[in-house]
Amino acid sequence: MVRGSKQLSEAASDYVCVRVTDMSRIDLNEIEFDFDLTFAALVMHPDGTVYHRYGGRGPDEPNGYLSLESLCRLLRDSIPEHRAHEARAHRRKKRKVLHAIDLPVLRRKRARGQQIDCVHCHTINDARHVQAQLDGSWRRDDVFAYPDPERIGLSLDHERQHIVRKVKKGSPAAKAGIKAGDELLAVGEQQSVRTLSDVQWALHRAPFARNRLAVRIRSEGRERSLVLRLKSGWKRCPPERFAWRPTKWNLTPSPGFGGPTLQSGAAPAGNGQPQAFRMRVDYIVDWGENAHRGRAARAAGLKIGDIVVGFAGKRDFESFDHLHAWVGLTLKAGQAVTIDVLRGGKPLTLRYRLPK
Amino acid sequence: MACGLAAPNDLIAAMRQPFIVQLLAFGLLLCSGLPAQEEAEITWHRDFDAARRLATERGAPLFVVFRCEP
Repeated sequence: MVRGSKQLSEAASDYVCVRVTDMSRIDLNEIEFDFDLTFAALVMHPDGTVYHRYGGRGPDEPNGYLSLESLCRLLRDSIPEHRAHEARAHRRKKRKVLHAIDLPVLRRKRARGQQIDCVHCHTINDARHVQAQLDGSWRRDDVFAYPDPERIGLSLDHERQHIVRKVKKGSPAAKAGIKAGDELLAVGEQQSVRTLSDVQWALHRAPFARNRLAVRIRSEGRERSLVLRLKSGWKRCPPERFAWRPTKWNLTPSPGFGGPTLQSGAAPAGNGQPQAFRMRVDYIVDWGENAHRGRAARAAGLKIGDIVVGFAGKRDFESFDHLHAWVGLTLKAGQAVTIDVLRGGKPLTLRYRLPK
Repeated sequence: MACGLAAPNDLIAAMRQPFIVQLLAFGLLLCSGLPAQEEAEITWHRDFDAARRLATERGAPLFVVFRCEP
Protein backbone atom coordinates (compact mmCIF):
# COMPACT_ATOMS: atom_id res chain seq x y z
CA MET A 1 0.00 0.00 0.00
CA VAL A 2 1.22 3.45 -0.86
CA ARG A 3 0.03 6.65 0.68
CA GLY A 4 -1.25 9.00 -1.94
CA SER A 5 -3.63 11.84 -2.44
CA LYS A 6 -7.39 11.57 -2.38
CA GLN A 7 -7.34 12.96 -5.91
CA LEU A 8 -5.18 10.12 -7.23
CA SER A 9 -7.09 7.53 -5.25
CA GLU A 10 -10.35 8.69 -6.79
CA ALA A 11 -8.96 8.91 -10.30
CA ALA A 12 -7.50 5.41 -10.04
CA SER A 13 -10.56 3.85 -8.40
CA ASP A 14 -11.73 2.19 -11.63
CA TYR A 15 -8.31 0.72 -12.30
CA VAL A 16 -6.36 -2.26 -11.12
CA CYS A 17 -3.11 -0.58 -10.08
CA VAL A 18 0.27 -2.24 -10.45
CA ARG A 19 3.66 -1.07 -9.34
CA VAL A 20 6.53 -2.74 -11.15
CA THR A 21 9.88 -2.39 -9.42
CA ASP A 22 11.77 -5.10 -11.29
CA MET A 23 11.54 -5.50 -15.05
CA SER A 24 12.73 -9.14 -15.02
CA ARG A 25 9.37 -10.71 -15.81
CA ILE A 26 8.06 -7.96 -18.07
CA ASP A 27 7.34 -9.15 -21.60
CA LEU A 28 9.29 -6.81 -23.87
CA ASN A 29 7.25 -7.90 -26.86
CA GLU A 30 4.26 -6.33 -25.13
CA ILE A 31 5.52 -3.52 -22.91
CA GLU A 32 7.58 -0.79 -24.51
CA PHE A 33 8.26 2.67 -23.21
CA ASP A 34 11.25 4.97 -22.94
CA PHE A 35 13.56 2.85 -20.78
CA ASP A 36 15.81 5.86 -20.13
CA LEU A 37 13.12 7.17 -17.78
CA THR A 38 13.28 6.44 -14.07
CA PHE A 39 9.52 6.79 -13.70
CA ALA A 40 6.94 5.78 -16.27
CA ALA A 41 3.30 4.76 -16.26
CA LEU A 42 1.05 2.95 -18.71
CA VAL A 43 -2.72 2.98 -18.95
CA MET A 44 -3.66 -0.25 -20.67
CA HIS A 45 -6.14 -3.04 -21.25
CA PRO A 46 -5.28 -6.40 -19.71
CA ASP A 47 -5.13 -7.80 -23.27
CA GLY A 48 -1.92 -5.83 -23.75
CA THR A 49 -3.36 -2.86 -25.63
CA VAL A 50 -1.65 0.26 -24.33
CA TYR A 51 -3.99 3.25 -24.39
CA HIS A 52 -1.51 5.85 -23.14
CA ARG A 53 1.99 6.33 -21.84
CA TYR A 54 2.95 8.87 -19.17
CA GLY A 55 6.19 10.00 -17.58
CA GLY A 56 8.08 11.58 -20.44
CA ARG A 57 10.41 14.49 -19.90
CA GLY A 58 11.89 17.32 -21.88
CA PRO A 59 15.65 17.57 -22.45
CA ASP A 60 16.10 20.20 -19.76
CA GLU A 61 13.00 19.67 -17.63
CA PRO A 62 13.23 16.43 -15.62
CA ASN A 63 9.86 16.88 -13.96
CA GLY A 64 8.19 19.52 -16.11
CA TYR A 65 5.62 17.11 -17.50
CA LEU A 66 4.87 15.30 -14.25
CA SER A 67 2.05 16.42 -12.04
CA LEU A 68 -0.71 14.84 -10.07
CA GLU A 69 -3.26 16.88 -12.02
CA SER A 70 -2.10 15.69 -15.44
CA LEU A 71 -1.84 12.08 -14.25
CA CYS A 72 -5.30 12.11 -12.68
CA ARG A 73 -6.76 13.73 -15.78
CA LEU A 74 -5.21 10.99 -17.90
CA LEU A 75 -6.72 8.28 -15.68
CA ARG A 76 -10.17 9.86 -15.79
CA ASP A 77 -10.11 10.61 -19.52
CA SER A 78 -8.96 7.11 -20.45
CA ILE A 79 -11.96 5.33 -18.96
CA PRO A 80 -14.24 5.99 -21.99
CA GLU A 81 -11.49 4.62 -24.25
CA HIS A 82 -11.35 1.50 -22.13
CA ARG A 83 -15.13 1.09 -22.24
CA ALA A 84 -15.08 1.46 -26.03
CA HIS A 85 -12.28 -1.10 -26.32
CA GLU A 86 -14.16 -3.50 -24.05
CA ALA A 87 -17.28 -3.12 -26.17
CA ARG A 88 -15.43 -4.17 -29.30
CA ALA A 89 -14.98 -7.88 -29.80
CA HIS A 90 -11.31 -8.53 -29.32
CA ARG A 91 -8.97 -11.33 -28.58
CA ARG A 92 -5.63 -11.08 -26.95
CA LYS A 93 -3.04 -11.19 -29.70
CA LYS A 94 -0.86 -14.28 -29.63
CA ARG A 95 2.77 -13.34 -29.55
CA LYS A 96 6.11 -14.71 -28.57
CA VAL A 97 6.96 -13.74 -25.02
CA LEU A 98 10.36 -12.22 -24.26
CA HIS A 99 10.89 -11.55 -20.58
CA ALA A 100 13.53 -8.91 -19.92
CA ILE A 101 15.54 -11.40 -17.85
CA ASP A 102 15.78 -13.58 -20.98
CA LEU A 103 17.47 -10.95 -23.15
CA PRO A 104 20.48 -12.78 -24.62
CA VAL A 105 23.07 -10.66 -22.78
CA LEU A 106 21.38 -11.23 -19.41
CA ARG A 107 20.83 -14.91 -20.13
CA ARG A 108 24.55 -15.35 -20.82
CA LYS A 109 25.44 -13.51 -17.61
CA ARG A 110 23.19 -15.84 -15.63
CA ALA A 111 24.64 -18.86 -17.42
CA ARG A 112 28.08 -17.71 -16.24
CA GLY A 113 26.76 -17.76 -12.68
CA GLN A 114 26.34 -14.03 -12.33
CA GLN A 115 23.41 -13.18 -10.08
CA ILE A 116 21.03 -10.55 -11.41
CA ASP A 117 18.96 -9.30 -8.49
CA CYS A 118 16.91 -6.75 -10.37
CA VAL A 119 16.50 -5.71 -13.99
CA HIS A 120 16.17 -1.93 -14.11
CA CYS A 121 14.61 -0.10 -17.04
CA HIS A 122 18.01 1.17 -18.23
CA THR A 123 19.40 -2.38 -17.98
CA ILE A 124 17.17 -3.28 -20.92
CA ASN A 125 18.70 -0.54 -23.05
CA ASP A 126 22.19 -1.58 -21.94
CA ALA A 127 21.57 -5.24 -22.78
CA ARG A 128 20.08 -4.42 -26.17
CA HIS A 129 23.00 -2.11 -26.91
CA VAL A 130 25.61 -4.77 -26.10
CA GLN A 131 23.74 -7.36 -28.16
CA ALA A 132 23.46 -5.03 -31.15
CA GLN A 133 27.19 -4.39 -30.97
CA LEU A 134 27.88 -8.13 -30.83
CA ASP A 135 25.55 -8.72 -33.77
CA GLY A 136 27.17 -5.91 -35.71
CA SER A 137 23.74 -4.33 -36.10
CA TRP A 138 24.35 -1.30 -33.87
CA ARG A 139 24.13 2.12 -35.47
CA ARG A 140 24.83 5.39 -33.68
CA ASP A 141 21.50 6.75 -34.88
CA ASP A 142 19.69 4.06 -32.90
CA VAL A 143 20.33 6.03 -29.73
CA PHE A 144 17.92 8.74 -30.81
CA ALA A 145 14.92 6.96 -29.35
CA TYR A 146 11.66 8.55 -28.18
CA PRO A 147 12.39 11.91 -29.83
CA ASP A 148 11.23 15.04 -28.14
CA PRO A 149 8.44 16.79 -30.10
CA GLU A 150 10.91 19.65 -30.62
CA ARG A 151 12.40 17.45 -33.38
CA ILE A 152 9.30 18.23 -35.46
CA GLY A 153 9.03 21.78 -34.15
CA LEU A 154 6.48 21.33 -31.36
CA SER A 155 6.48 22.37 -27.75
CA LEU A 156 3.58 20.93 -25.73
CA ASP A 157 1.65 22.26 -22.77
CA HIS A 158 2.93 20.83 -19.48
CA GLU A 159 -0.49 20.05 -18.02
CA ARG A 160 -2.72 19.39 -21.03
CA GLN A 161 0.01 17.69 -22.93
CA HIS A 162 -1.85 17.17 -26.21
CA ILE A 163 -2.17 20.93 -26.62
CA VAL A 164 0.48 22.71 -28.67
CA ARG A 165 2.17 25.48 -26.70
CA LYS A 166 4.59 26.73 -29.37
CA VAL A 167 5.52 25.91 -32.94
CA LYS A 168 9.01 26.58 -34.23
CA LYS A 169 9.03 28.73 -37.33
CA GLY A 170 10.02 26.83 -40.47
CA SER A 171 9.70 23.43 -38.76
CA PRO A 172 7.81 20.46 -40.27
CA ALA A 173 4.95 21.17 -37.84
CA ALA A 174 4.77 24.83 -38.89
CA LYS A 175 4.94 23.96 -42.59
CA ALA A 176 2.06 21.51 -42.12
CA GLY A 177 -0.04 24.30 -40.61
CA ILE A 178 -0.01 23.45 -36.89
CA LYS A 179 -0.43 26.50 -34.65
CA ALA A 180 -0.10 27.24 -30.94
CA GLY A 181 -3.33 26.24 -29.19
CA ASP A 182 -4.11 23.38 -31.59
CA GLU A 183 -4.94 20.01 -30.03
CA LEU A 184 -3.11 16.91 -31.21
CA LEU A 185 -5.67 14.13 -31.58
CA ALA A 186 -3.57 11.48 -33.34
CA VAL A 187 0.07 11.26 -34.37
CA GLY A 188 1.31 8.42 -36.57
CA GLU A 189 0.56 5.07 -34.93
CA GLN A 190 -0.79 6.70 -31.76
CA GLN A 191 -4.44 7.08 -32.60
CA SER A 192 -5.35 8.86 -29.36
CA VAL A 193 -2.93 11.43 -27.99
CA ARG A 194 -3.17 12.68 -24.41
CA THR A 195 0.40 12.95 -23.17
CA LEU A 196 3.93 13.96 -24.11
CA SER A 197 4.86 10.27 -23.93
CA ASP A 198 2.12 9.41 -26.44
CA VAL A 199 3.69 11.85 -28.90
CA GLN A 200 7.19 10.55 -28.16
CA TRP A 201 5.99 6.99 -28.71
CA ALA A 202 4.49 7.96 -32.09
CA LEU A 203 7.73 9.69 -33.09
CA HIS A 204 9.76 6.72 -31.87
CA ARG A 205 7.72 4.40 -34.08
CA ALA A 206 8.04 6.64 -37.14
CA PRO A 207 10.93 5.88 -39.53
CA PHE A 208 14.26 7.64 -39.11
CA ALA A 209 14.44 8.10 -42.86
CA ARG A 210 12.62 10.74 -44.85
CA ASN A 211 8.91 10.12 -44.39
CA ARG A 212 5.47 11.59 -44.11
CA LEU A 213 3.90 11.56 -40.68
CA ALA A 214 0.12 11.66 -40.48
CA VAL A 215 -1.25 13.95 -37.77
CA ARG A 216 -4.84 14.75 -36.84
CA ILE A 217 -5.50 17.97 -34.97
CA ARG A 218 -8.38 20.05 -33.69
CA SER A 219 -7.79 23.65 -34.62
CA GLU A 220 -10.30 26.38 -33.75
CA GLY A 221 -12.94 23.73 -33.15
CA ARG A 222 -12.44 21.96 -36.45
CA GLU A 223 -10.74 18.60 -36.97
CA ARG A 224 -8.09 18.46 -39.66
CA SER A 225 -5.79 15.78 -41.04
CA LEU A 226 -2.28 16.92 -41.87
CA VAL A 227 0.94 15.40 -43.12
CA LEU A 228 4.32 16.38 -41.71
CA ARG A 229 7.20 15.96 -44.13
CA LEU A 230 10.22 14.75 -42.20
CA LYS A 231 13.72 14.77 -43.62
CA SER A 232 16.14 11.88 -43.34
CA GLY A 233 17.80 11.88 -39.90
CA TRP A 234 15.10 14.07 -38.35
CA LYS A 235 15.37 12.27 -34.99
CA ARG A 236 19.00 13.31 -34.44
CA CYS A 237 19.34 15.85 -31.65
CA PRO A 238 22.34 17.87 -30.51
CA PRO A 239 24.43 16.33 -27.70
CA GLU A 240 23.22 18.84 -25.11
CA ARG A 241 19.60 17.72 -25.74
CA PHE A 242 20.64 14.07 -25.48
CA ALA A 243 22.83 14.50 -22.39
CA TRP A 244 20.17 13.54 -19.81
CA ARG A 245 19.79 10.02 -21.21
CA PRO A 246 21.54 7.19 -19.33
CA THR A 247 21.99 5.60 -22.78
CA LYS A 248 24.94 7.93 -23.27
CA TRP A 249 27.01 5.71 -20.94
CA ASN A 250 26.92 3.05 -23.67
CA LEU A 251 28.35 5.29 -26.37
CA THR A 252 31.77 4.76 -27.85
CA PRO A 253 34.09 6.55 -27.59
CA SER A 254 33.83 7.75 -24.03
CA PRO A 255 36.10 10.12 -22.09
CA GLY A 256 37.05 7.48 -19.50
CA PHE A 257 36.59 9.71 -16.47
CA GLY A 258 33.84 11.54 -14.68
CA GLY A 259 32.77 13.74 -11.81
CA PRO A 260 30.59 16.65 -10.84
CA THR A 261 30.04 19.74 -12.93
CA LEU A 262 31.36 22.71 -10.95
CA GLN A 263 30.35 25.39 -13.41
CA SER A 264 28.31 25.29 -16.61
CA GLY A 265 29.89 26.71 -19.73
CA ALA A 266 26.52 27.41 -21.33
CA ALA A 267 25.84 30.97 -22.36
CA PRO A 268 23.34 32.48 -19.90
CA ALA A 269 20.07 33.93 -21.13
CA GLY A 270 20.08 37.65 -21.88
CA ASN A 271 23.31 39.57 -22.09
CA GLY A 272 25.20 37.76 -19.35
CA GLN A 273 28.78 36.73 -20.02
CA PRO A 274 29.27 33.00 -20.49
CA GLN A 275 31.16 31.32 -17.68
CA ALA A 276 33.98 28.87 -18.13
CA PHE A 277 33.01 25.19 -17.95
CA ARG A 278 34.56 23.33 -15.04
CA MET A 279 34.19 19.78 -13.82
CA ARG A 280 36.19 17.92 -11.21
CA VAL A 281 37.62 14.51 -11.99
CA ASP A 282 36.28 12.33 -9.18
CA TYR A 283 36.88 8.98 -10.86
CA ILE A 284 38.87 7.51 -13.69
CA VAL A 285 37.28 4.40 -15.19
CA ASP A 286 40.06 1.88 -14.77
CA TRP A 287 37.88 -1.06 -13.75
CA GLY A 288 35.48 -3.42 -15.48
CA GLU A 289 34.86 -3.90 -19.18
CA ASN A 290 35.80 -0.32 -20.02
CA ALA A 291 38.96 -0.08 -17.93
CA HIS A 292 41.03 0.64 -21.06
CA ARG A 293 39.27 3.98 -21.43
CA GLY A 294 40.26 5.27 -18.04
CA ARG A 295 43.75 3.81 -18.33
CA ALA A 296 44.27 5.79 -21.54
CA ALA A 297 43.24 9.02 -19.81
CA ARG A 298 45.42 8.19 -16.81
CA ALA A 299 48.37 7.39 -19.09
CA ALA A 300 47.90 10.83 -20.63
CA GLY A 301 48.49 12.27 -17.17
CA LEU A 302 44.95 12.84 -15.88
CA LYS A 303 44.63 12.68 -12.10
CA ILE A 304 41.78 12.54 -9.63
CA GLY A 305 41.04 16.09 -8.51
CA ASP A 306 41.99 17.72 -11.82
CA ILE A 307 39.59 20.40 -12.95
CA VAL A 308 38.66 19.82 -16.58
CA VAL A 309 37.92 23.04 -18.46
CA GLY A 310 37.93 21.76 -22.02
CA PHE A 311 37.94 18.61 -24.10
CA ALA A 312 39.14 18.27 -27.70
CA GLY A 313 39.27 22.05 -27.95
CA LYS A 314 35.67 22.58 -26.86
CA ARG A 315 35.04 24.60 -23.73
CA ASP A 316 31.35 25.49 -23.66
CA PHE A 317 29.92 22.31 -22.19
CA GLU A 318 26.74 22.78 -20.20
CA SER A 319 27.64 19.93 -17.88
CA PHE A 320 29.75 16.80 -17.64
CA ASP A 321 26.74 14.89 -19.04
CA HIS A 322 26.95 17.17 -22.06
CA LEU A 323 30.68 16.55 -22.43
CA HIS A 324 30.12 12.79 -22.23
CA ALA A 325 27.29 12.86 -24.79
CA TRP A 326 29.30 15.14 -27.09
CA VAL A 327 32.29 12.80 -27.05
CA GLY A 328 30.08 9.77 -27.77
CA LEU A 329 28.02 11.40 -30.50
CA THR A 330 30.60 13.46 -32.36
CA LEU A 331 34.10 12.00 -31.89
CA LYS A 332 35.56 8.75 -33.15
CA ALA A 333 37.58 6.05 -31.45
CA GLY A 334 41.27 6.46 -32.23
CA GLN A 335 40.92 10.22 -32.61
CA ALA A 336 43.70 12.31 -31.01
CA VAL A 337 42.23 14.67 -28.42
CA THR A 338 43.33 17.06 -25.73
CA ILE A 339 42.05 17.48 -22.19
CA ASP A 340 42.51 20.99 -20.81
CA VAL A 341 42.80 20.86 -17.04
CA LEU A 342 43.66 23.05 -14.09
CA ARG A 343 45.87 21.40 -11.49
CA GLY A 344 46.68 23.45 -8.44
CA GLY A 345 45.37 26.44 -10.40
CA LYS A 346 47.87 25.90 -13.25
CA PRO A 347 46.63 25.08 -16.77
CA LEU A 348 47.81 21.86 -18.38
CA THR A 349 46.99 20.27 -21.71
CA LEU A 350 46.98 16.48 -21.79
CA ARG A 351 46.96 14.53 -25.03
CA TYR A 352 45.72 11.05 -25.84
CA ARG A 353 43.88 8.95 -28.36
CA LEU A 354 40.32 8.05 -27.51
CA PRO A 355 40.16 4.28 -27.16
CA LYS A 356 37.19 2.20 -28.33
CA MET B 1 1.66 22.60 3.00
CA ALA B 2 3.35 23.15 6.28
CA CYS B 3 6.89 22.66 4.99
CA GLY B 4 6.30 23.81 1.43
CA LEU B 5 8.73 21.25 0.05
CA ALA B 6 6.70 18.16 -0.53
CA ALA B 7 3.24 18.95 -1.76
CA PRO B 8 1.27 16.01 -3.23
CA ASN B 9 2.30 17.14 -6.71
CA ASP B 10 5.88 16.47 -5.75
CA LEU B 11 5.20 12.80 -5.13
CA ILE B 12 5.74 11.72 -8.69
CA ALA B 13 8.69 14.02 -9.12
CA ALA B 14 10.23 12.63 -5.96
CA MET B 15 9.89 9.10 -7.30
CA ARG B 16 12.36 10.07 -10.03
CA GLN B 17 15.10 11.05 -7.66
CA PRO B 18 17.84 8.91 -6.14
CA PHE B 19 16.72 6.92 -3.11
CA ILE B 20 18.21 9.30 -0.55
CA VAL B 21 16.33 12.23 -2.10
CA GLN B 22 13.14 10.19 -2.16
CA LEU B 23 13.63 9.31 1.47
CA LEU B 24 14.06 12.97 2.36
CA ALA B 25 11.09 14.06 0.26
CA PHE B 26 8.75 11.44 1.65
CA GLY B 27 10.04 12.14 5.16
CA LEU B 28 9.23 15.80 4.74
CA LEU B 29 5.85 14.86 3.36
CA LEU B 30 5.04 12.77 6.39
CA CYS B 31 6.23 15.47 8.76
CA SER B 32 4.42 18.25 6.99
CA GLY B 33 1.03 17.69 8.54
CA LEU B 34 -0.94 16.67 5.49
CA PRO B 35 -4.63 17.13 6.26
CA ALA B 36 -6.23 13.76 6.98
CA GLN B 37 -8.71 14.09 4.12
CA GLU B 38 -5.85 14.34 1.65
CA GLU B 39 -4.59 10.92 2.62
CA ALA B 40 -5.96 7.95 0.79
CA GLU B 41 -4.79 4.52 -0.07
CA ILE B 42 -4.48 2.75 -3.35
CA THR B 43 -3.96 -0.98 -3.50
CA TRP B 44 -0.80 -1.45 -5.52
CA HIS B 45 -0.34 -4.93 -6.88
CA ARG B 46 3.21 -6.15 -7.33
CA ASP B 47 2.47 -9.17 -9.51
CA PHE B 48 1.71 -7.95 -13.02
CA ASP B 49 0.23 -11.26 -14.20
CA ALA B 50 -2.05 -11.54 -11.17
CA ALA B 51 -3.16 -7.93 -11.63
CA ARG B 52 -3.87 -8.62 -15.28
CA ARG B 53 -6.10 -11.58 -14.36
CA LEU B 54 -7.92 -9.46 -11.80
CA ALA B 55 -8.44 -6.65 -14.31
CA THR B 56 -9.81 -9.14 -16.85
CA GLU B 57 -12.27 -10.49 -14.30
CA ARG B 58 -13.42 -7.00 -13.38
CA GLY B 59 -13.40 -5.59 -16.91
CA ALA B 60 -11.12 -2.91 -15.51
CA PRO B 61 -8.17 -1.14 -17.13
CA LEU B 62 -4.67 -1.42 -15.72
CA PHE B 63 -2.69 1.50 -14.35
CA VAL B 64 0.90 0.32 -14.36
CA VAL B 65 3.66 2.34 -12.73
CA PHE B 66 7.27 1.44 -13.42
CA ARG B 67 9.65 2.66 -10.78
CA CYS B 68 12.70 0.89 -9.51
CA GLU B 69 13.23 0.71 -5.77
CA PRO B 70 16.39 -0.11 -3.90
